[in-house]
Amino acid sequence: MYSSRLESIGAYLPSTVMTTSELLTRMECESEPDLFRITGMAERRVADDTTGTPEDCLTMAVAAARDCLGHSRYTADEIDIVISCSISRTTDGRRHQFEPSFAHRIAGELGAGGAVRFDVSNACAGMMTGVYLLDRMIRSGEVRNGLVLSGEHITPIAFTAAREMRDSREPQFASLSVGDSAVAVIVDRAADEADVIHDIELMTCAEYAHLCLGMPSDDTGDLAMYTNNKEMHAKDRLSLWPAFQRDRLADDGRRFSDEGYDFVVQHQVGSRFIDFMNDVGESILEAPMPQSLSVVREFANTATTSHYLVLHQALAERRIPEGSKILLVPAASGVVTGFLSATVSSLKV
Amino acid sequence: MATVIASTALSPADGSGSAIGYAASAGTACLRQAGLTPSDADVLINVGVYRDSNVSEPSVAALIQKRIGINLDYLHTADRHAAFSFDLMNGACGILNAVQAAGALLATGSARRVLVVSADTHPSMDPAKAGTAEFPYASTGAAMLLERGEDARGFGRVHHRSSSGTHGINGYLPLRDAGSEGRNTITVDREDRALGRMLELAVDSVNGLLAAEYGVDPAEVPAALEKTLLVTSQPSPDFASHLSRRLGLASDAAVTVEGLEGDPHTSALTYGYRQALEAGRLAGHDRILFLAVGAGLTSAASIYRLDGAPEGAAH
Repeated sequence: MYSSRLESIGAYLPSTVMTTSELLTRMECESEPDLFRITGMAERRVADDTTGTPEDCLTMAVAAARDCLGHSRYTADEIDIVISCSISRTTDGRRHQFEPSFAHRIAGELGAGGAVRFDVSNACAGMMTGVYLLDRMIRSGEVRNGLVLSGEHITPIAFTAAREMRDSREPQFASLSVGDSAVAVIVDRAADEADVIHDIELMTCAEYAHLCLGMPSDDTGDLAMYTNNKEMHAKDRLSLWPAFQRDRLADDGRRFSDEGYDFVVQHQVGSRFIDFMNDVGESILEAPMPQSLSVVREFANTATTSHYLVLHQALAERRIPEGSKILLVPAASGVVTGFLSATVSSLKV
Repeated sequence: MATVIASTALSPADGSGSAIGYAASAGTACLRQAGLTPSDADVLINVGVYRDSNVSEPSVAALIQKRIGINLDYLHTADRHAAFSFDLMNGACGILNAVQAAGALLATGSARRVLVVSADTHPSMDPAKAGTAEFPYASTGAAMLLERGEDARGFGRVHHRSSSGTHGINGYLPLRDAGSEGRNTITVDREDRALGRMLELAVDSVNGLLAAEYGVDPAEVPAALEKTLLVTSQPSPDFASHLSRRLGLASDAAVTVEGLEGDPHTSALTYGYRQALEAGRLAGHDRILFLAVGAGLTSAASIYRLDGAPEGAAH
């Protein structure tokens, strides 16, 4: 059976920067929440889909894919499968698309005419789910390579929250923490141990599926998200990942402390959340956490793209030496968690 | 060893208008028929497109998983059995993309059983708005349980095709126009020529599949399909019979789904298979040709080899 690897990565970030204080000035709350103190987010990028050359989920995804292909050994027509994973799926002037698949439109724009295409929707674990499926399809020999990507124009939920919230304890509070971006990765068959995905395992604990719901607002319109933060981030929820990883490794006779991870990337919910996750991880896995990478300060929570955006930015800043072993830990509504571990050497941006 | 259908079920017409409810009731029945409990499903894939209140997060699959009761909390189940669920969307073709993805999960030992559910509804969940000129899809759902077979029985390669040009069908929520009614609003634009183009793509897909798998020349297609039952998407009530005739076959060579108001859309292949099975129509056939054509335009097709015991033989 084959193994897979992260072959190339690309990203697109809108040029418009919105600071946290600028976002908060849009609020009609009687007492503004101290968003920076709670989340560590100083700013986020915001797509502008109102200009002649709009930035939306489709255009950003295509731009990220082109960046990725620019670093890849493959051309678009050599791609076997395209999997699009965004939650927001908006284009053509704020249309939230259901069919045809976004992947179909992206494949068409890129000239990946022969590629299988479909969309995956799995909240903030979308890209992780896409990479999981592609890894299994490569391992089984079903495909040789594929493009997993997400263009995420998610800030409209922050603006809905800003319009509608009257109190920082309201369920739309978490919606203020998102930012826009697109990331694309090409995954193909591993050739050696220098670039390989070691593990990717995911699970959904649907008991908590109702704790974070995204849907159109029935108040002022557009997309919105409603989260029960207290329940979502209860210690029992945060314990799911380390317990699951500990058990999966133990099934193979392995231990977290022996895996030699160099970096960990948690979901970019906020700086406090990342610290909590690493603390709970250390406690349950009985091992120190590797260096934790983050982009929350500059790019906030970019939903489906967050882990791969952190990886992209860390590679751009030359912070990941060749041969590093990285651990990506999703945390998404569903509740979805799990882990991806990979050694990366030739991944360049 | 190939991916086999262990069980199928259709959702009862309960009038709830809830895609989550349809998929959950079909999924529950599908597992029960196979003599399994919910915790026996390792992975749940939802291929439904149009959903309750246009919910975009979490996956509709997670909400269905909760309703069926599949391994809901890893920390509080006796055997620490994990489940995984997600939505896979590609219109009417999604079910065959799911078959392909499930095949990889089963082949790599990542899952022993994959439950594929499908359901569509008008987002307002008003059944009277389904199966209309504005929203042509039926308000219903279905489930198909997939396992790894032990012989040549089961799905072959899934062949994909897409046609250039316009998308034929475009389904979306116009957020600006919908205003505060976004949970109840959906637009499905179908071009006048879409059905004709879908029929052409279906014919091309069948010819392409038979050429790739068996080296069959287009002129030999009727003979090659002699003992093959066609189970297709149902973009119009007469699509299956039109396709049969275009392929030079008897008009009932492809299954026409009965008893629904509107196009069963993402559930069409499961509906066609289940209704054929219940009507005893699989007898005398060696194979089923599953074929879906949908928005894009895109198509997906796969030959399913039968052995005379179409369901449950894997147990």
